[in-house]
Amino acid sequence: MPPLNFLQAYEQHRNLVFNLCLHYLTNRQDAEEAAQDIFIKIHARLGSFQEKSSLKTWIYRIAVNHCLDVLKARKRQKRLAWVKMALSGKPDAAPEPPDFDHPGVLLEDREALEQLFRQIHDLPDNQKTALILRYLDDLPPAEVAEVMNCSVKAVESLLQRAKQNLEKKRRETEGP
Amino acid sequence: MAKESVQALLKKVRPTEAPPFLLTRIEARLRAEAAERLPRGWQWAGALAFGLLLLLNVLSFRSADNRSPETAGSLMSYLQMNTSNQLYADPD
Repeated sequence: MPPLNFLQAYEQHRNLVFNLCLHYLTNRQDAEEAAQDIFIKIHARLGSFQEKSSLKTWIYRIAVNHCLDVLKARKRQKRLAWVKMALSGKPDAAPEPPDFDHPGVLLEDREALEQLFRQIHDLPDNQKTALILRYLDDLPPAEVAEVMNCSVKAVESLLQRAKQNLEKKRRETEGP
Repeated sequence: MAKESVQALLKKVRPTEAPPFLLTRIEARLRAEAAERLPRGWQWAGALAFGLLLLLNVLSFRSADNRSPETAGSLMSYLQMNTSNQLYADPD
C-alpha cells in the first residue's frame, strides 16, 4: 500500500492532474493513462520533495513535463509511421490521430473547441503551457510563472504571443 | 456571427472529475512494480557476485599478462613454427 502522504496528495490533486492531462492530450483514455503515470512518478519522488515550492506547484511541474513528453512521443510515432509508410508504399499505414474526446466540452461547442485545441497543439511548448495553465486551469499569472520557473512578465508575453498566433491561425482557417 | 475570442471559447471548457477507479489502477500498478522489484538482500548479493567476478577477471588477466611472452615463445618452438616474415621462397 502507498504511504498516507501519497493518498493525501492524490485526494487533493487527482482532479487537477486529470484535467491537465485532458487539456494537453484531449482524449479521455490517454488522459487516464497519463494521470496514472504521473501519480506513479509522484509516489516514487514524494520522499525527495523538499518543499522548496508548494506541493501543488511540484505536482503541476511533474504533470506538465509528463504531458509534454507524451505529446513528443506521439509526434515521434507519427514521423516513424510516415517513414514506414513511405518505405512500404501502403497509404493505409499512416497513423490515426487520437479522437477528440474531452468530457469537459459540451456537444454544441465541440467543433469549435476541437479546432481550437488542434491549433493550441501546434503552438510552441511554452506558449501552450502558459495558455493551458492560465485560461483552462485558471491559475493566476504568478502561479503560472512559478510552475514554469520564469517571471510573471515572461508569462504575460507568452500568453500574448500565444493569443496572437491562435487568432492568426483562426483567421487563416476560417477566412474573412 | 462574430467569432468568439480564444479566451471566451476556452472558458467554455468545464472542469471534470477524475474517474473513480483511477486510484485502484494506480495501487495495482504500484503493487505490480513492488513485486517485480528484487528484495534488497538479493540486490546486494548480485552486486557482490559481480564485484567478485570482476576482481577474478582482473587478477587472472594480470597473471596471464606477466607470463605471456614466455608462453608464446615456448609454444612456437614446440610447434616448430616459422617466425620469419618472408612468406614465399625467392625463385632461383
